[in-house]
Amino acid sequence: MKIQSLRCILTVCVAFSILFVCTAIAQEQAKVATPPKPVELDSGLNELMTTVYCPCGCVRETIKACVCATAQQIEADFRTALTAGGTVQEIRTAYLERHGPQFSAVMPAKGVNLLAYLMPVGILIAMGAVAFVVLRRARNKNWETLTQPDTQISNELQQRVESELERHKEQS
Amino acid sequence: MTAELGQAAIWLSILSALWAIVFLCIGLRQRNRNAVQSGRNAVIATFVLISIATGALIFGFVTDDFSMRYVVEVSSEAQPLLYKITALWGRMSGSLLFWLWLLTVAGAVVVLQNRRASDTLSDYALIPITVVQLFFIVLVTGLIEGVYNPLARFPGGQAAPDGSGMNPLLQTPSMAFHPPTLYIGWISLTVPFAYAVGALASGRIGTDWIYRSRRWMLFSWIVLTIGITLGGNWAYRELGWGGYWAWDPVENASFMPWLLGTAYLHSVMIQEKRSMFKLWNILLITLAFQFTLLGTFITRSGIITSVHAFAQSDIGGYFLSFILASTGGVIVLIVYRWKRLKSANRLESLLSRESAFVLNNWLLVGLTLIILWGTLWPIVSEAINGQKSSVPETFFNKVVIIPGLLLLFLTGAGPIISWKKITPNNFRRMFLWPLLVGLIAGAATWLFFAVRAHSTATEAAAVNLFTQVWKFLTFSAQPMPIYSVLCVLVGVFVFVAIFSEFYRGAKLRAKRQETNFFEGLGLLIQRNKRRYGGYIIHLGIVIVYLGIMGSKGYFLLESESLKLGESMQVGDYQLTMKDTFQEERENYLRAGVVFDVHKDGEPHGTMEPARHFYYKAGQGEQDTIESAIRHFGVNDLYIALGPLPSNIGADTNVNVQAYHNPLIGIVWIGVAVMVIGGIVAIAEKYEPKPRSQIGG
Repeated sequence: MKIQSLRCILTVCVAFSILFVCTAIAQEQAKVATPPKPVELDSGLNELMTTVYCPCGCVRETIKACVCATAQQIEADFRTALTAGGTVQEIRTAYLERHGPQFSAVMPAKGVNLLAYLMPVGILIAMGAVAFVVLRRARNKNWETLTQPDTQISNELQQRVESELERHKEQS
Repeated sequence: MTAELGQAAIWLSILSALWAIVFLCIGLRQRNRNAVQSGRNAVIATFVLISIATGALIFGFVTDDFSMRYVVEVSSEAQPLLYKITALWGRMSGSLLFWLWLLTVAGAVVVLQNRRASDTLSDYALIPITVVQLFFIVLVTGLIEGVYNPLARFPGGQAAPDGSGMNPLLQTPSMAFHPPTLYIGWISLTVPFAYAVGALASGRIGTDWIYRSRRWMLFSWIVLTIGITLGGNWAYRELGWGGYWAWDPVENASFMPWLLGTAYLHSVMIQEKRSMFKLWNILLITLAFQFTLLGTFITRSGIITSVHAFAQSDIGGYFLSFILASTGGVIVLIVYRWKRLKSANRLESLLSRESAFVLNNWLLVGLTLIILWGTLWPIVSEAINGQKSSVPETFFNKVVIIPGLLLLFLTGAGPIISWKKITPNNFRRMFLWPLLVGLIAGAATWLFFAVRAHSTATEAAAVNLFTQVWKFLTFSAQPMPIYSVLCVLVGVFVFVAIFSEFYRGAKLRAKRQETNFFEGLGLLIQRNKRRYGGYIIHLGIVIVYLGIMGSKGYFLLESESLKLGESMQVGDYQLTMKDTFQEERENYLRAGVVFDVHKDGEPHGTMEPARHFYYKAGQGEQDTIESAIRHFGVNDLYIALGPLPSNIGADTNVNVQAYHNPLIGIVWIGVAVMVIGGIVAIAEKYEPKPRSQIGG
C-alpha cells in the first residue's frame, strides 16, 4: 500500500514538473508571438451582434448568426452608430427599445431576471435536501420492522431462494 | 371513398377502445378469462382500425387527392413521393393520427407479447394504454375545437387543383426520420408508465412490472437518443446557424423525458437489487410519461415561441387537462397502495452505489426541473412584470453546466463504487488511478489553453519569472477555461474508470475460462449485457461531453459580403468565391456558390452552399438555407449563404457565414457509441416466471 501511495505522489510531482517546464517553454514561444491588430470597433460590433436577436422572424438567432438581409442591414447600422461614437450599451438599449426586450440575447442577473438565475440553485438545493432526507431515512430504518414477513416480501424472498437453488443446481 | 373509410375507422375505434377498457376492467375484477380476452381483442381491433385510417390518409397523399383538406395543406403534386408520405406528420392533425397509430401499435405489441401467458399485469397495463389511445382518438375525430379530422374532405365535394406543399424546412431526409423516432420514443414511454399503473392497480408492486417494462424503457431511451440527435443534426444542416442545440423550447421538451427516463433506468436497479425506492420509481416513470405530454403541450399550444411554430394550434389545453387528470389518477392509486410502496431494505452506508444512484437521480431530476423552469420563464416573467422576454442559450449554458459536470463525474463514480458500502480499500483500488490520470489530463488541458491564450495575448511580458508564470497560468486578462479543464479532467476520470472496469472483468474472465483477453472481453459483455452495455453508454456520454465542449466553446464564426473572386478567412481556412450555379430540381430551384477551400495554403477542394427556392410552399415561393459542410477529421468547416436572388449571377453580392466547429464530429460519434451501448443492454433477455392464472 505504501509503495502505491509513493508511486502516486511521484506521478503527481512528475506531472507538475512537466507542467512548469512546458510553461516556461510556452512563455519563451509567446515572446515572439505577433501583435494582433486593433480590435476595439470589431469587438464592440461583435458584442452587439451576439447580444441581440434578429427581428427578421428567424426565432432566437442573434444578428451574428442570422444570415438574412435584415441582419446584414442591422450590422451596418451598428457599425455606423459605433463609428459615430455610440457606446455598445447605448446602441443596444436603443435597439431593444425599438424592437422589444424579448430581442435581448443576454439575460443579465438583475431585477426580475435574478429570480430566473436563483431558482435553479433553489431547485438543486431543494432536490438535494429531499435526496438527503431519503438517504438518511433509508439508512436509519429499523431493520426489524422491515424484515417482518408480508406477502410482498415473501414473494421476493421466494424469488431469491429460487435463484439460489438454480445457482446451486448449475454448480453441481 | 378511402377517406370516408378512414373516417369510419376512426369513429369505430372509439367503440373498440371503450370496449377494451370496459371488458378488461370487468374481466380483471371478476377474474373472467373470456372478458379479458375480449378486451385484448378490442385492443388489436383498435390497432387495425387506426391502421386503416392512417393507410387511407397515406393513400390520399400518394394519389394526390386534393379534395382532402389535410392533403392540400401539406402536399402538392410535385412533392417527391418520400415527402408525400412524411407529410403524414407535417402538421397538427396528421401528426396526431400518426401518434395515435404508434400508440395502437404499442398496445398490440403488449397483447402479442403476452398472448400465451395469462398475464394479469400486462392486462392491467393495457387499460392505461387504451385510455391514452382514447384521448388521441377523440382529438383526431375533429369533434373538438382547434384540430380537424385529417381525413375530412372540403365541404360540397370541392377539390383544390393542387396542394400548398409541405413546409420546405421539413422536406429533408432528416425530417423524414427525426419526428417518427421522437414519437416512437415518447410513445414507448407510455408502456412502462402503463405497467407502473398496472402494478399499482393490481397491487403487484414488486419487481415484476419493472422486469416487464425494462426493455420498453430501454427501447424508448435508445430511440429518443436517436431522435433528439437527428433533430440536432437537422438544425445543423438546415437552419444555417452552425449549431445543433440552442435550448429551444421544443428541443427542451424532447430532452426532459430523456433525462427522466435516464434517471428511471438507474433507479430501477436499486429496486431490482435492493428492493428499495418503489414509490420513487413509480413517480419517476409517471413524470417521464407526463413530460412527453407536456412537451406536446408546449409544442402545440404556442405558449412559447419556438422554431417549431408550424405545429401550433389550440389543443394545448386538452393536453394540460389530460396531464392533470392522469397524474391525479396515479396519485389516487399511490395513496391506495401506500403501505405496499415501502422499501423492503435499508441503506447500509451513505457511501455506496445506492447513494450514487440517488445522487444521479437528484441531478437528473434537478436538471429536468431547471430546464423546465428556463423553458417556462418567458411566461413567468410576463406574469410578473408584463414584459415579454426570451431566455437565451447562454442562460441554459450557465445554469446546467455545474450539475452537468457533477453528473459526468457520477457517470464514472457510479459504476466503480460498490453496492451496500464502500471500504477504504475499495475506494483506493477503484478511484486512485482514474482520479490521478484525470488530474494529469486536466493539468495538460490547462497548459494547452494557457499556451493558446498566451500566444495571442496583447500584453507585454511581465517583470519577473514568477509573475510571468502566474499570469500565464491564470490567463492574465482572458477568461480562464475552467469548465473545459474540468470537463476534460472528469471525462478522463470516467474513461479510465470504465476502461479499468472492462479490463479487470475481461482479465478475470479470461483467466477463469483459460482464454485470451479479447475473448474474455467478449464473454464478459455477453454474460452481462445490461451492465456492460450501460458502461458503453457511459463512454459515449463522455465523448458527447467533450464534443459539446469543443463545438460550443471554441467555434469560430466569420461573416463577409463577397463577390466572385473575393476571399474570406475563418480560422486556418481561406474561402474563395469561385463560381455561382443554378439547378432545376423536382419541386425547387437550387441556386448557390462554389467556394475554393484552402487550409494553411493547401487546396482542399470546393464547397457548394446553396439556397433552395420551393415553387409550391405555403403562401408562395419560399427558400431554405442549404449549408455546405466539410469534415476535417472531427472538425467541421461550415458555410451558409444569406438571401440570394434565384437568378444568381457573376456580379451578385453574396452574404456568407463561415464557421469552424471543432470537435463537432465526436458529438455524433458519442451518440453512436451510446446507441450501440443501448443495443447491447437491451439484448439481455428476461425470462418471465410463471404467473398467477386468472380464474373463471
